[in-house]
Amino acid sequence: MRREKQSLSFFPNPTVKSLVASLLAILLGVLVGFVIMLFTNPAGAPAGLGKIFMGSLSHPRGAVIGIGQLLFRATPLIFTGLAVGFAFKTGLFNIGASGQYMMGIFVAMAIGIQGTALGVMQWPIALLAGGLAGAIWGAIPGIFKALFNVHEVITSIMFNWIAVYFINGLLRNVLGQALINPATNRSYPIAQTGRTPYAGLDKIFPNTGADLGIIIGIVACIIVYLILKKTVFGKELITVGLNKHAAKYAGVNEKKAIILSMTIAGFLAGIGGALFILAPSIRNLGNTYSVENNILNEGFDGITIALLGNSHPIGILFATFFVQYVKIGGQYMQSLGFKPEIVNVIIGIILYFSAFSLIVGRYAAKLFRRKSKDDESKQLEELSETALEGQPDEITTSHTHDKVSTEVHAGGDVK
Amino acid sequence: MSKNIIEMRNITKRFPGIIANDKINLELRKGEIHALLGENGAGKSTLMSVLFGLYQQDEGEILLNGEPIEIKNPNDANRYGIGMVHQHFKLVDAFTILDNIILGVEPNSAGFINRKEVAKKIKELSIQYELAVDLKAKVRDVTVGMQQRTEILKMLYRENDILIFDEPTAVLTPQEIDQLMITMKNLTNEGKSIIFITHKLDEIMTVCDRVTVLQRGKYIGTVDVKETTKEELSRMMVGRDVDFNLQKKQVELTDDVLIVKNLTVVSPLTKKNVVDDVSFKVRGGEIVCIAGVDGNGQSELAYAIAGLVKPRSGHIYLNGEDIVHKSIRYRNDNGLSHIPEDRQLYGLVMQDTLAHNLNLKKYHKPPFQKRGIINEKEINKFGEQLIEKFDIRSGQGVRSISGSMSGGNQQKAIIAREIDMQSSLLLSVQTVRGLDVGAVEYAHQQILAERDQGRAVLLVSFEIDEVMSISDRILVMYEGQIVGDLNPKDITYEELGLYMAGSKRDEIEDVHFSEEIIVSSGGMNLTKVNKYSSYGNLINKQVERNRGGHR
Repeated sequence: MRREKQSLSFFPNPTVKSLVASLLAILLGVLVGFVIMLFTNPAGAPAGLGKIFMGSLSHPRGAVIGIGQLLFRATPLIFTGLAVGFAFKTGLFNIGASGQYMMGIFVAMAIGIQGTALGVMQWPIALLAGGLAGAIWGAIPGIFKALFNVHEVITSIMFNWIAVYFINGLLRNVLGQALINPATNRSYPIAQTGRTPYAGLDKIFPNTGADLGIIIGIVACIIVYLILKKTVFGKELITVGLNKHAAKYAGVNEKKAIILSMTIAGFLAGIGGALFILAPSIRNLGNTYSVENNILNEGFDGITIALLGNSHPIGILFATFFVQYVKIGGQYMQSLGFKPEIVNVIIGIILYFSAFSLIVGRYAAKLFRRKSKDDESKQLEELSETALEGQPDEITTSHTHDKVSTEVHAGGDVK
Repeated sequence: MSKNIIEMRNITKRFPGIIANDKINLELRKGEIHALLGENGAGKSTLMSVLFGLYQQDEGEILLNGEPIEIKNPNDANRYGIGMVHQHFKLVDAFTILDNIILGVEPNSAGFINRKEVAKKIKELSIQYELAVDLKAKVRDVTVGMQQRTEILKMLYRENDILIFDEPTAVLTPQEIDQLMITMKNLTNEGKSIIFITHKLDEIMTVCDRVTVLQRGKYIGTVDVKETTKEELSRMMVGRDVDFNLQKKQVELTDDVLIVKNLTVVSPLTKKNVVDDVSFKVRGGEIVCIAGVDGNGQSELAYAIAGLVKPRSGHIYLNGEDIVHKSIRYRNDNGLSHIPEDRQLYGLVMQDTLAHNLNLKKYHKPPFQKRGIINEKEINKFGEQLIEKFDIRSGQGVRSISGSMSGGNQQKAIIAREIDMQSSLLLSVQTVRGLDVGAVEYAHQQILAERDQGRAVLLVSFEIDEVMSISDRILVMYEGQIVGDLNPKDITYEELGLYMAGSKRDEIEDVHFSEEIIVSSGGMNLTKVNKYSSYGNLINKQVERNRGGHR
């Protein structure tokens, strides 16, 4: 641990450090992806690499349309990313963002379809109700963790499935007639008053679906950032995340912090789900929910995004854009003759490597360090007798952490 | 003179921006006990890590019997006969002692371990060196002393001739320390050579042949123990004179600050009463020391007072108010300062900055927050004040990451934070563990200053020297109970050691507290030892006289 600390101190500040690390990890992933392109489609590989780099900018109807699409598709993922990242900050691994997201979709959809009596208030109420449904779904694993010390990973995985069957069970047996179109087995479109407004974005990015959601997403990132950075509440959550024993010792009610953190995480995921289903989408056609016994992937993508953004709310914003950018670029690769499966593999590899940013950062820092050995900023105190102690532990934890999360993400993507 | 078995010449080891070892020399003669002395951060561990193969030196060479050797990893070290007992034992808790000893070098035939044969060999070793262990016991069930003997047997089983002991006495009772000293002598009589890392000058004077002193990564010198004094050694180590005698002023005792009444704490693992119906009081202006061997309930007692564990029953009165059901924050805000036993786990958020850590118990109060919004400027200002006042040294001042600071300065930061709170009770557990003489002197002066200002100090210590030198009153804990309420002026080290080992105990008078007594808080300490006398006023007078006599 000590050695890492010292080596990383090469970078002027941690933000720059993680940014450089993320960029290097991405580059590494793209390189490996390129090797696979060379193997599968040697002729198309250079052009494929170009598509990946150009991402959504290479939209056939122009870069502006590409960007609009990017914004539209980013909205839900910003929120699931925040949901995972926020819990990470309190030391919790919220693998249940998908379930919370689905609960958000379900409740917002119900109000969005049937709540026309609410008039102009329909979409805000549907949005908030979706958030609350997600909050409840997040709070339960939090309560289990805080009061009974049941690991949140286990509970939240189970709550993903409980969400799937709870929603589909209700839709098939009770609420089906009200919400589901039997011909398509999909939900009816949201009522017009239930849809989030375009807020003028349809003028800038015509026919892309970009709407108020992305603005709410960006604002949410800033608010979460301010809560974590500036408030007593946020400081307590972060302290619990860094060292819950010390937090308890300092007088933080760590159980309350765990429950609140999961509740807020769930709320964010729920809002993400609500914004997805309430979105007017392209040409105001609306989005629908398909009744299938599958966990939606958005929550798992949120894990990738949170890791990639280092759980930093602003980092998550950019990570979302990056993930969508690469994904859209990948779609365009199909025009070059790449099979969709190969495209998914390449995207998966790029994202997989991005999640290694911590390790890459460590290694890169070491490389740089060799060149700048005379960095004299450290004082003698840093040379502690404890150079050995504690080091192995720290490293193992961070490794397992990476491993768990990447595995999970891989699992999510495979589906 | 016997020849050098190990010679380390001009060893230099650099870490980024720092020279951990700067041309260090160390000569270990065959059959000697060679002490390696230095403050926290002097480079002792780095030097031994180089010898043990955990680090590679940047410059310099290591000679084994005059031949240069390269030690790239601990396996190399083992091959050259170098073994090490780490400060924190490297044992597998769930394994038996036997399995721990043979771990990694299991003798096997066709993949099966023949434990019987191994046990015989280990028994021979343990008889030869008088290292009593129970081979079938699991490590987690045996005493720290036996764990240490296991570590020593591990080295002997691997036929190591050069043994490194990294602060082996920090965790032992006086009796166990004596035993260890005898063991070390036995080992050298059998031709082993020992490097003994310690800060404790008394141990060096008793058992060592020569001392090598390091100071801030530099080699200061090697001296013969017979030709030196404690004072000279401490001067070499710290670079200045150290006052070993605490100057204690006479202080008027004030009200009862802390009253613990029939407190029982249950271990979540064993379901046993780790603190068993304990009652005592601490008054303002006195330092009460809870003495005892580690693991007799002292930690749990401290955690219960601090609010980190919930007691099963009993009461804790702080300034007359029962706080047993109050939150930790309430206690912190209402007169409790706590220097925790585990400073890395509880005391500091290691990844956070020094400023935030110094503010750990205050950020929720103005001026550090206003309407829920943190004021970083005030926090930094406050941090800078404490850093200056308590002389906390770190790389980047308030912005230093706490985990990058030396152990001594981490502890200083905690002491600074807790003392700055001006609480009526200072609860301090293992305050000086792992600190060097300079830092110990500092910590003790701070604690004494607290007492002199009329605050109550409850100190939990496993180190008998500390207990005897700093306390006004000693409560000995054994198996969860208080078995002695002693005056340090009246007893000898040996006697205290007997209490700590459970071989001696006084029937502590069972005290019935009445609410009036607690509220009036006029009475003397209510738990006392029969040796003073029997009951009633007689006790009070007697104790009063005893106390008066010692001032």
